[in-house]
Amino acid sequence: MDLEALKKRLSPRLLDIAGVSGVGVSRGQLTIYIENESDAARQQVEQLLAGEAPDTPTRFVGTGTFEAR
Amino acid sequence: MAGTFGAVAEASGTRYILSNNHVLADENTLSIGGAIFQPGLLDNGDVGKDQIAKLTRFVPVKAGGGNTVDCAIAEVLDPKLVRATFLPKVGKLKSPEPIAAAEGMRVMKVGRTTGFTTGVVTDVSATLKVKYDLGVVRFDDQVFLEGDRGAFSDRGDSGSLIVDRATHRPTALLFAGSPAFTAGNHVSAVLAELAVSVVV
Repeated sequence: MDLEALKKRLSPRLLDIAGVSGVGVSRGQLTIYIENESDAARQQVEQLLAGEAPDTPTRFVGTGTFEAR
Repeated sequence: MAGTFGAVAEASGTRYILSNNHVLADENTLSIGGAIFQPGLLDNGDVGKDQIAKLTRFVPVKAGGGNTVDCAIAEVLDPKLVRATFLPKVGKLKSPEPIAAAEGMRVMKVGRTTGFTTGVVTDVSATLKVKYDLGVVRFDDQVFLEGDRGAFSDRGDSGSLIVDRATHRPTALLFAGSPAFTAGNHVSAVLAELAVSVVV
C-alpha cells in the first residue's frame, strides 16, 4: 500500500474535518493528527477511510493546535 | 514579531540572515528593504542602533493551502555583525549541505525562547494546518519533531535551524508548533526557494 499517495489524495478532505490538525505517515502507518481527543473528529475520519481506503493501517495522534512560532 | 536568527546564508558573496517570513517579513507585510533588528524590538532592541540587516526576499505565505516553506532572508548591513559559526552548544556545522530529514533522526537546535533543545524526527511528509495572524494556513511536506525533555520549541523559536546530531548538517527550519509537536520546513526546500546556501 502506497501510504504517501493515499495521504496526498485524502489530505484535503481529511483536513476539512474540524479537529484534524494534520495528516502524515509515521511508523509505517497513515497518521491522523488531531487537535484533541474529539470522538467526533475521529469518527468522521474513520468513516471517510472506511469508504475510501478500508484496511489502511492508521494511527491517531493528539497534537493541540499548531501556531506559527 | 520576536523570532530567531537561525543561520547565516550566502549568495554571490552577499551575506544574509536566514529565518522565517513571519519573523522577518511579518507575514508578507514588511516592505523589501525594511529594517531588521537584533535584538528584536519586542526584546528591547533599539531602533536607533540595533538594525543589523534589511529585508531582501521572502516566499509569500498563502492563506489556505499550497505552502511548503515559511522563509525569508535579510541582507546583513555589515558582515562583521554576524558570525556564521556561532551556534551555542550546537557547535559548528560540518557542512553547508542539508541532510534529508528521516524518521528517528536525532536533532538539535538553539532558539530565542527555549535555547538549546534536542529531539527526534517523527514524520517527514506531514500536511498540517497552522494558525497565523492572516488566517489558517496549510503546509505540505513538513517535518514533525518531538522534544526529548518537554517541548522542543516555543513562541519566539521560529527561524531556528534544526541540525542533525549525527552529522552536524542542517535538516529543517523551525516555523510552527503545538503543545506536543514542532514543525519545520525541509531546509533543502528553503535554500532552493531563496537561492542561497548556508554558511559554515
